[in-house]
Amino acid sequence: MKIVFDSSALITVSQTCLSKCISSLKEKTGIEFFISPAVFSEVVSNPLGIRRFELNAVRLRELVEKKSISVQELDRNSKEFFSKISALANNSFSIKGKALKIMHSGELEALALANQLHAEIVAVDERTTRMLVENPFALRASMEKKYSAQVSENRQNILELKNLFFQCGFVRSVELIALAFEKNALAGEIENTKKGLEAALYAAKFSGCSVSFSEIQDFLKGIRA
Amino acid sequence: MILEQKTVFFLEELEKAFQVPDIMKLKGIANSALQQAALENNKFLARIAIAAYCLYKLSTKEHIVQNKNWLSVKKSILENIEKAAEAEKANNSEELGKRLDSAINSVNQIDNELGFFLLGVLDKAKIKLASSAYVLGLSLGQAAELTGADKKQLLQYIANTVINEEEEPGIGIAERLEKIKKLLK
Repeated sequence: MKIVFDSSALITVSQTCLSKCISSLKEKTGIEFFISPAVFSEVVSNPLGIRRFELNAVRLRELVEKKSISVQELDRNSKEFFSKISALANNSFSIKGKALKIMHSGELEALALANQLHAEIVAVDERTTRMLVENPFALRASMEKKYSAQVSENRQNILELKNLFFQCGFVRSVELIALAFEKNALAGEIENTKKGLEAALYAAKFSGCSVSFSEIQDFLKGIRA
Repeated sequence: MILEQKTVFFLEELEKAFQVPDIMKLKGIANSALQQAALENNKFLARIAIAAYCLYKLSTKEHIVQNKNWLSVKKSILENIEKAAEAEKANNSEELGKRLDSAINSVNQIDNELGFFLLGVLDKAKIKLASSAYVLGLSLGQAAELTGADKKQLLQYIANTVINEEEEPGIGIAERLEKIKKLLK
């Protein structure tokens, strides 16, 4: 199975000091992890020169050097695919006839890479990318509320985008942490107990993963102590 | 209102509000200009929003507004805002950009000299406004790009707000986890 990371999920994983669970998950499950060169620059090359972020960059660089995460260039077809999904995503919603540019090249590149690699999963912690594919009409409703204006949707673009990724699932860092817990891939980092899992999930939340308290609480109810 | 008029409108309002200074109005300009910037994907408007937010913050700091250099800094900022509006009226976007940068640089400079925090008011303004853009529906990357905020700092800032609590309940952790496990079989 292949998982492509957007920078947001990777930032959360490194921020929670659980970056080693990526290599451990790879060993225990055979999951292959990928990032695009743009994500590599964003999470490794650029922050290496900034004291505040240097530690996370070093942690993530180690994952790449040890081949736990592979950096994969977009091929020519994927660059075309990238342009296509960029046009679709950024022309899905409009206000008074003005199309809303909601997606950035970094997130779109992760989607294009997932398509190129036939990856089953995209790991993304920020909300908009996920909602655009999974629940675009809820995203529209949310924008309408926040802008206090009517947001029109381009149904054709939305459905085309949805169809392009219908076989692709989305996960956040919290699901990867939960999987690591089940596969005992957090060993050595934190205790493999319900309390350890709870601590790791909340750490991911407070590091930026778009997950609510109630989601974490609901999930923990199903975990035996 | 067409876009050029909006830019001039925000700049003129900013100049008036900072002159007084009207703190709440400065904050209101920051929010309105940011919303318009997100709508139009307009970085000039985003910079006006950032300038307004910085001026709102600085105007509330006693140790800054009572500093002997403040009045000359304020004068220079007001002049740059005025010239930015003139540049926009003359359709000179290069000059508009330069004047906005100069105003923002003045803010940054006095904050660096007199501020108490390692994370300055300019960075805080970018992050705060980027989080507002994210709330409006822009992706994390797009919100960071529009405002010039750092993505990691933005992600952490958002994590410490109720933004993620307000999200529509969608697919939960257990369901997503189940999907990965099925794929692994």
